[in-house]
Amino acid sequence: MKLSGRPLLDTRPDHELFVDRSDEITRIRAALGQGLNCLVAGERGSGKTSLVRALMFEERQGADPQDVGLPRLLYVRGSGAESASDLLRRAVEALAQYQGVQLATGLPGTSGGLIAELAERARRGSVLMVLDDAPAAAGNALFGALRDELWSIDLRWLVTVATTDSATLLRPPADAFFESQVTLDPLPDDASMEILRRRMGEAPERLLAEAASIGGGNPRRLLDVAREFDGDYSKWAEFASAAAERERALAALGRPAQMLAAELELLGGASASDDRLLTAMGWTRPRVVQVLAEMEAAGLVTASSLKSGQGRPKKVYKVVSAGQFLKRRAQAQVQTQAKGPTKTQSKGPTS
Amino acid sequence: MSRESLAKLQEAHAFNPAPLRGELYELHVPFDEMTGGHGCEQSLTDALRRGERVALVGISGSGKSSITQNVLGPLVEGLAPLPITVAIERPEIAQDPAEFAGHLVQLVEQWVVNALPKQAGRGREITTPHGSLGRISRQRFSVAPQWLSAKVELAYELQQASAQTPLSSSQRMDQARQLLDLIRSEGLQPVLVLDDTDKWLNTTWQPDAATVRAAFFGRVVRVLAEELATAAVLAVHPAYLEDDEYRSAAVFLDTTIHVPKIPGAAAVGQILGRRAGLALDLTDEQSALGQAIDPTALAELFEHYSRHKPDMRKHVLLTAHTALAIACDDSADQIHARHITVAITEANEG
Repeated sequence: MKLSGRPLLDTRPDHELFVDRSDEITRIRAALGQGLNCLVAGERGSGKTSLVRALMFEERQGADPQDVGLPRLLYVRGSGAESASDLLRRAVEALAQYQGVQLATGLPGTSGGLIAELAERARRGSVLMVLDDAPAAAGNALFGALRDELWSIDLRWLVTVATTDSATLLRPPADAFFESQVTLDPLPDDASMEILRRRMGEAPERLLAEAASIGGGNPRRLLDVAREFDGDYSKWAEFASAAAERERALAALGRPAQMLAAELELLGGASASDDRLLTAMGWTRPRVVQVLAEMEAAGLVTASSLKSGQGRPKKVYKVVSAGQFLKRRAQAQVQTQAKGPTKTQSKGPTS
Repeated sequence: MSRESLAKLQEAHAFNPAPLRGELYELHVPFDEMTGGHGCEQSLTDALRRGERVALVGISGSGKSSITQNVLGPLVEGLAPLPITVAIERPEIAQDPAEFAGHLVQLVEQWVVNALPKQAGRGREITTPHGSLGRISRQRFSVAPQWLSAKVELAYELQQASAQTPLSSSQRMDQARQLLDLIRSEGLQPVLVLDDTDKWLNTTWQPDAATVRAAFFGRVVRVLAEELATAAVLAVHPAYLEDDEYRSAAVFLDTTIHVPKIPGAAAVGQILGRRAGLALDLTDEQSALGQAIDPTALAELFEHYSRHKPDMRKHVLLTAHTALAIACDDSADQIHARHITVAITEANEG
C-alpha cells in the first residue's frame, strides 16, 4: 500500500497516484497561458502541492518544439520563509539552478537588489514561478509592497496558499497581483475513493465509501484514515465510528478548535508558545492555551513534556488520530465498567 | 479581422490587465482625451509643474498608475520623476522623515550607477518573448528614471552628492535637499512618485499599520512640503480620505485629483483600440479595434464596468483579455458580445 500522506512529486510514479482535479488544472493552465498570475487556495492537506506538481509533470511531458504550452515551471518552496526577501532569494536560487549557474558570490541583501537579480535571470529564458505554500505575511509583503516591482519583470507566478492564510496574503494591494484565483474545494467522494483504490488496490467498496466520507474531501485526512487500519478491515466499522465521533467532537468545540487541530496536524505537534503556531493562527498564547485545554478535555489532543535547553519543560500537543481516539474510548469504557454503573457520563471519548 | 490577426492579439496579450510598468505610458489613453476635459492628466501635469503635492485618488485598478506613468512618461519635458519604491528591510522609512530622506538619497545613488555611461552596461535589458506587445517588446529593467540617462553631467554630480554618508538626521535631510536642488539647477522639476499608499501603509512589511499611517501622513508627507519643498504625487485609495491622519496631512497636499470613470462604450473602444493598434503595429487604432471587437461587445463590456466600482483593470481589461482567449478558442474572427458574457461568467465563477 502507498498510504504516505506526503505531497506527490512531479514524477511518473507519483503522477499515477494523482487523482485528477482536471477542472482546476484546466483553469490554472488557461490563466497562466493567458499571461495571468494565479493564486490557488485550499485548506491544509487539500492537495495544493500535489496539484502544482501534477501540472509541472504534465507540462514537462508535453514539452516539445512544436508545443505551444506554458513556459518552464520552476518550483519554489514557500513554507518557512520569514520575509519577502527570503522568498525572492529562493526564487533567484531556483532560477540559477535551472539555468545551471553557480551562485559564486552572495546574493544581494536587499529586496531591491534581489528583484534586479530576478529580472536579470528571468530575461534569459521564459519561465514561470511556482511558489508553493506561500506564508501569509511574507507573501503579502512580496506581492503587495513589492507588487509594482514584480510587475516590472516579465515573469508570471503560480502561488498556492492555505485558505486560512489567503486573506492576509491578499490584503491590498496584493489582491490585484492575482488576476486569477482558483479555490480547491473538497474532493467528491468518488474521487476520494479512487485515491484509495490507486494506493490500496482492492478493498471493499463500502469501506472505501466510509473512509471517503470521514476524509471529508481532504486527501491528507483521507490517507490518515486509511493508514489507521492498515489493511485490517475487521475493526473497520468500529474505527469508522470512532473517526466520525472524533470529527463530531471537534466540530462541537467550534471553528477555532477545528482550525487549531488543522495547524497542529500540519506541524506534527506544537507547544502553545510555538512561534510557528502563533503566527499561523494569528492568536495570542493565552488564546491557544484556552482552546488546547478544551480540546484536551474532549480527548482530542495528547500532551507530552519536552525538555529542551534551560527552563521548564514544554508541553507539546498532538491531535489524536482516529485510531488513538478508538483506543482511548475503549480504555475509558473498561475503566467505566470496572467502576460500575455511574449516574453521569464523563467527558471526552466516552461521551 | 482574420482569425490570424485575432490570434496575434491574443499571443501579444494585447489586453493584458497587468502589462509591464514601462509599457503603461504608451498604453494609457488619457482620461482627458476620453472625457474631453482637462481635470485629470492636464491638471496633474499643471500642478506638478507648479511644484505642488498632489493626491491622486482612485480605487485599485482605476488607472492611478497609468495616469502617473503617462504624465511622467519618458517623453515629458521639464519634469524629473523620482519613483520612491518601498524598502521592506527598512520599515522606518515610512515613519521617520530623516529615514525617508536617507532612502531617497540611496535610491538616487543606485540610479546613477545605471545612468552613468561607463556603467551603462549594468542597465538590464529585458526581452519579453512571452506576451509582449509588438512595438514595445524590449524593456530595460532599471529603477533609474529614464530622464537621468540623458543627463550625464547631472548624474555625475548626483553621484558625488549622494556618495557621502551623513550621520545625523539634519545631515540626511540636507543631503536630500541638495540632490533635489541639483536636479532643479538643470531646469527640471523633481517629482517624488509614491505610487499606491497601500504599498506603504497596508501590507505586512509594516509592524503596526495604524502607527505607521499616523507617522506617514503626519510626518513624512509634511516633510515633503516643508523640508524638501518638492513636487510629489501620492496615489491614494478613497478609503484614506475618511482617515483622521490623512485629513490632518491634507493641508500639505495642494491638489486632489479624483480618477474619473470611463465615460462610455466609445471610450472603452479607445482603450482597447490603443492596445490593439500597438499589438498589431497599426497606426489606425480604431480600425484595428473595429475589426477585433464588435460594437455590441463593447457596449456589453461598458455595461459590465458600469455595474461595478470603476475598476478598469478588472472589469474592462481582464474581461476583454479573457474574452479574447474565448473568441480564439471559438475560432471566431472577432470578439462578440457572447464572448464577453462568457468571460464575465467565468470571472464570477472564479
